[in-house]
Amino acid sequence: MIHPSAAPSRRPHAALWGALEIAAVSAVTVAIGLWGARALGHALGLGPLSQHMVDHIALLVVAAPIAAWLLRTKLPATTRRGFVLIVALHIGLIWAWHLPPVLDAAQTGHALHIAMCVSLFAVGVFFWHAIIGLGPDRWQAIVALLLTGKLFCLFAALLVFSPRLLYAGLAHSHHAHHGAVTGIADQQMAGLIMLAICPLAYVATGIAIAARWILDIERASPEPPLSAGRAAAPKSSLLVLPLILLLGGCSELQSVMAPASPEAERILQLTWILFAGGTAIFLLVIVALALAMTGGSGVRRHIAGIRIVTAGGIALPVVVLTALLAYGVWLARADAAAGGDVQDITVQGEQWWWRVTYHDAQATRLASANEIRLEAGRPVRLNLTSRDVIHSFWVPALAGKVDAIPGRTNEMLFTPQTPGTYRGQCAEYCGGPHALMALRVIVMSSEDYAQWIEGERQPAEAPADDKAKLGQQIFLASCIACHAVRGTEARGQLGPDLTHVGNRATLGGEVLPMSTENIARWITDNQSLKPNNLMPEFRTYSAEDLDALASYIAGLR
Amino acid sequence: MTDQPAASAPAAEGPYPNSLPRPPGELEELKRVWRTPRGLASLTDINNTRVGVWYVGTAFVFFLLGGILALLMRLQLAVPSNTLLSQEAYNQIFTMHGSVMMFLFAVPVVEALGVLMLPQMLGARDLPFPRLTAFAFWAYAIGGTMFFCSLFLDLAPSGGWFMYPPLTSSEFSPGHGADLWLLGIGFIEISAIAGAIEIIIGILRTRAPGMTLSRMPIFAWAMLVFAGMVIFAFPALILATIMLEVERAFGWPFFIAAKGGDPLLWQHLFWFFGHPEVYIIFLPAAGAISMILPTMVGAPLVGYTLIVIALVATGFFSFGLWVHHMFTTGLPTLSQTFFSAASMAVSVPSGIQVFAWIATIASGRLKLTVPALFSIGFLIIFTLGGLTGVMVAMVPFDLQVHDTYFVVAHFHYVLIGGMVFPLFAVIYYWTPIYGRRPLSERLGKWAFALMFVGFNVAFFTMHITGLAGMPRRVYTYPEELGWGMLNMISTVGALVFAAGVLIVVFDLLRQFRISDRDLVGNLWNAPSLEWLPNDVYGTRSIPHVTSRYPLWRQPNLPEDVEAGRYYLPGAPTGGRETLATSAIDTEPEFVMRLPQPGWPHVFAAFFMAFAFLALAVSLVIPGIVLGALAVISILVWLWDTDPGPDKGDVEIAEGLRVPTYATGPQSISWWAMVLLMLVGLALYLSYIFSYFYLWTVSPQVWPDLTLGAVPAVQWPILSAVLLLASGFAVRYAGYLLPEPGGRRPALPLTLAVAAVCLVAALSIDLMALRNAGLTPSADSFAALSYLAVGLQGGLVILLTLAAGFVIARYAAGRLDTHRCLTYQTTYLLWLYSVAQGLTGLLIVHGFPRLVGGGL
Repeated sequence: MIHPSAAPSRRPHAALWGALEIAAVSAVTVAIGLWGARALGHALGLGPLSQHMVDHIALLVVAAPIAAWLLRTKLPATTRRGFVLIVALHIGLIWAWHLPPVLDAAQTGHALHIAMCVSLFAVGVFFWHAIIGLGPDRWQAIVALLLTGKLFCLFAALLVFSPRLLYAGLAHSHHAHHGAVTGIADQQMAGLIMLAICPLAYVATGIAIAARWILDIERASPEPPLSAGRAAAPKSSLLVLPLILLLGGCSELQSVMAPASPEAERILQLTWILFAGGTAIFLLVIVALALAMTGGSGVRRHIAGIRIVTAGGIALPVVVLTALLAYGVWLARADAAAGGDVQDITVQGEQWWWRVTYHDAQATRLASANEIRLEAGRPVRLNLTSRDVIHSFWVPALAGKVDAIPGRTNEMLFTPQTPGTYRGQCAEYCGGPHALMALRVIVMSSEDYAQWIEGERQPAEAPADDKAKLGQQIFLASCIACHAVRGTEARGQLGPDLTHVGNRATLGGEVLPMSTENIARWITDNQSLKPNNLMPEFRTYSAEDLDALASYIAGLR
Repeated sequence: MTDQPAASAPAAEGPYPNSLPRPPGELEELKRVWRTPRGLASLTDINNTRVGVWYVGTAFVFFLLGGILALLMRLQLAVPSNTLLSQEAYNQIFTMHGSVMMFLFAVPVVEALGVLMLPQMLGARDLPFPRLTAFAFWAYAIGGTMFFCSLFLDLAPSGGWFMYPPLTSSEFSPGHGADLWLLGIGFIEISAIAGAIEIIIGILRTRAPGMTLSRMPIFAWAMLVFAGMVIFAFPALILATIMLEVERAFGWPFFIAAKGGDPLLWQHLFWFFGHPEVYIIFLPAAGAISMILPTMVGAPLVGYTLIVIALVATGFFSFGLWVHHMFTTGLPTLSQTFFSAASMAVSVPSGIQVFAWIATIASGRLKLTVPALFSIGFLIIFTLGGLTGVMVAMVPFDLQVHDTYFVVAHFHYVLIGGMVFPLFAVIYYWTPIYGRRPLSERLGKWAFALMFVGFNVAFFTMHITGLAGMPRRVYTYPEELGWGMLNMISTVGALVFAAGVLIVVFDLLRQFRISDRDLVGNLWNAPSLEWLPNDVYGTRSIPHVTSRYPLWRQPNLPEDVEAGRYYLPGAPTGGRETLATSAIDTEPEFVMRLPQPGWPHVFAAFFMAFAFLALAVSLVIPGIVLGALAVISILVWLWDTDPGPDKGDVEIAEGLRVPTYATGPQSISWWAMVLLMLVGLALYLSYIFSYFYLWTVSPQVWPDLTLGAVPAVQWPILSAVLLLASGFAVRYAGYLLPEPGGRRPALPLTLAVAAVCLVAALSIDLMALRNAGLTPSADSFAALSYLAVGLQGGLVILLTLAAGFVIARYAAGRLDTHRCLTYQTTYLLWLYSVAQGLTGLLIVHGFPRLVGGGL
């Protein structure tokens, strides 16, 4: 490990002076770093954990490298073994100090807090000192920076994706600004700050070192210019673009292109913007390519330089993507803004159907399956979960998709506007008849909806005639292990609630239109209609019994 | 062959390293030691040209097989409510299509190209570990074939190629399909990692003198980044497959929400591998394009340095993007914005490359040969795929098109455009090096036209199908949704594409015969070293390179190299060998002795593949027996590594003598072991992430320490002391190495003590967990605690074997102070294991105390 370390001075007080200088530089850089971090945090209204994160970033990736640079001749050169040790210590200390109980303790005890800051700063200074001092062995710096970046990234990811608050103590700490974000949002923000800045600082430094290294090597062995003969006028050749545009001809039942809510409309607008921008950039590339292949030598000379690489490969994407990202952030914010009288519905994905539960003011739980009725103009929040495997709820006309994951509840918020029927289907492969796990959403005017929900609150209708009565007997004898019908003793929970099944438009999740004959067909042949679905086929009924059973079920309105 | 005086050499170069005429018999000796085995013994071949061609060929066969599966799917979807394939058959087929294309085609073919091309391109005789290459090939070929054949036995997995639990748990996927996937893919990943280690060392240590990093062909740069990414990315998937397989087999609940696991953990780990995977596939293909275009234009690559930086930057950044595959899983909005931005940022390095290629094309006149056509096709298709990639990086848009045919279209544009088209360019470009006849330009143009048109017809249409609402992975759809016409168009396009591929297959069968003589040679007037006159041993002598485009800059190079004017014109050690140079400035360091062909590595691959198969179908005893046979084969294979310094120094150029043996950081074994330690580290980091991740999700299963549910503190402390003791013992053993010919009985004793300490530390930890009443199937906390022991256990088994091996070599007189590589590599791994073991103890025993109130 070669380092331009100063020769040991012979003056008697050199050691003292050196120590003083180190202390002074440390104090000044730390003070400036922390002051800046606090000012920034105050200006942005950061929560306590985010502020803490900004403080640490100020210490580790601002103050420490500056101090390391200023003190580069004062600190001892790093040995090979010392390098490994300092990299490990740097990573280890970050993780150790941020284990929740440790950090909570550090937040309450001042001595511990100071110890944390001092140790982090010190290890940071030694880390950057080692990196700066590496010289020709730069590959080790790249490996160290990559590892450090990866480990900090993993830590940040834990903060971002944690579904709960990890640091109880921080909520009451002295770091909090007035009116700052707290709780889980603060924790996510802290994780993101770390995710954005920390690894970027290390990774970017790694890339910068790699780049400088490559450039140095290039300088050391310069490439002699090649006297490749300039090309004569190239033959012209036409580039055919086999682009086919095929919109239309598709039904609008389940299409992204036929939105029925402001959320889906905004996404469609975004889609058009993306297509327009994408086409423009694509054409630009194609024109450049065509000119490069067939243009005259004057045109080609313009394209042949490094300038087009920096302009087209760096400047263009940076400008375009920054604008696009800002627009995307604005869109996401608009989506989150819905509020007011929100209707709550729980949708549980099950192999291979959707269990729908309305949380109604009057009747607390109204259960249905594969069909959701909504009131036009009223915001709705779907609480999505799953009983078995991962499913994904997607009705393109209303909103983008959200996964239904066992053990979690995901929310989906939108406001249906246009009354009508919209189809959707499971978008995360869930095994077996995943292709047949469809549903429909029926958006109704307020009056129609009020009428419908009133009917829905009632228990099931009693069988109207003898045939239906016979059907009910059969039903109660053999179907109630899985199915429930409110108002009867049928309380099975494995399959769909059938209280008002006769009002639903389809059977088996969009497999068959609702009718008495189709109910009978479903009972006897569902395995060929929807292979491997979890309902067994019942083929032992006489034709008469089957008809009675189907009539009873069809009459459940 | 002229006997020109050295003065006629380019001025920059000075006199040649060796003068003519060469001594009689030198060339014959070279040919003798590199002779290709014939007959049945040709299976034992390890030469990179031969194994490389097998490797590329096998991967290409899997490409065709995966393509047939794709056509079956296209036929099924051509019309609504089709009944050609059953639901279960379709589910198996799309799962196999994705898995085969990703794991049996894309990654292996890239690695195979590296094996085939790199030594030639870098001026080496072979890769540094030829038997490891051959082993990786056999493991992949046998394992891959078995994996594919599961389809015919109705045993194939049907969980989709990313195998999301809980769908793939034993509850929802009983049967052996998922096990075959987990063990099969895990096995092939191991082969990929072995190849990556080989490639890194090959690139860094066997370049021809003068080929500094800045003169290295771009393809080698791309392969270097590729291999580095494999080493960091694949371990995350290996850990995930271990966890899922253990969950399926023994009920350790890593992904079961009810027991403190989390299905999303799999997605994090899978995409932590899976996103870099895309670039792992794309970067080498882009590197190949950067080789082909300058040749076809007759001018140097514009922006060489910028492209190298772009490759490196892509490698770094690709690890920060994994979350964009998970936008629909309900992650915090803020984090989505971050990953959205990161995903867009990665398009900058791709943009740099696209415009650099355009600028290169403009700097000369592009000859519209078949390789050039495929390169242009690549450029167009990949650009479109990149643009739709930016689209899906926009979160709101992604929420609509995620898991629809729009995304199917997007990633086929990126993968077929970014990897298959370059591969076909490569096939047409590089076959003249290995065959007696080039492929037909006329057929090639037909093939290109059909493939380009067919591809765009099939896949451009899918963007629209997706926006029209069609999700992926559905085996059927009803007519009223109006997707019939779009799907029919895609099917027709796919058939046209397949016709183009068939033409290439026909042309290959007709024209391509691998050969050692009468090769076509430098058909395109290409500038890089792989176009020098070639034989199985590479070039007759290893050239001195003075620029990025040596064949353009040094016009006499082919003749001079062939005449033996450059380095190492013979076989001075009487065996296979290549020149090891320093990593950065390529100073000749030593002559690396290479092994001869043999059977052990073939048997090792064979037994290991069947051991994995047996375990996948729950045949435990046969699995263990086969595994033991594999271990024996490997030990036999390793026995004649570490040849020692008995050949002394040899002359590679007039007045330049170098050693034939190196130890310590100069040796390639040392490098390989350091890389292997990085693999282990990446795997263990994934474990640490999983541990803390599950704790953030389900802290309730971490025990309340006041109830005393973790082992008493003396046990981990004792375990740690034993670990340290074992580390010191191995270190101490280094001082006990005997002088050549001498004996030091304390050496085997010390090593045995070290191994015993290591085993004891592990056993104590295991017993302590058991005695504290922890059952791994109870909850994720217990499962993670035992997993740490399990991961450490794997290392302990390895090291115990290694200790025995080192002792055996001592006993056989093959270990002394000079001949000590075996000890050194064991020592390195030992150090790593002690460090990992201590970290594991700290986490498993320390963290519960920290959060459970037990401190």
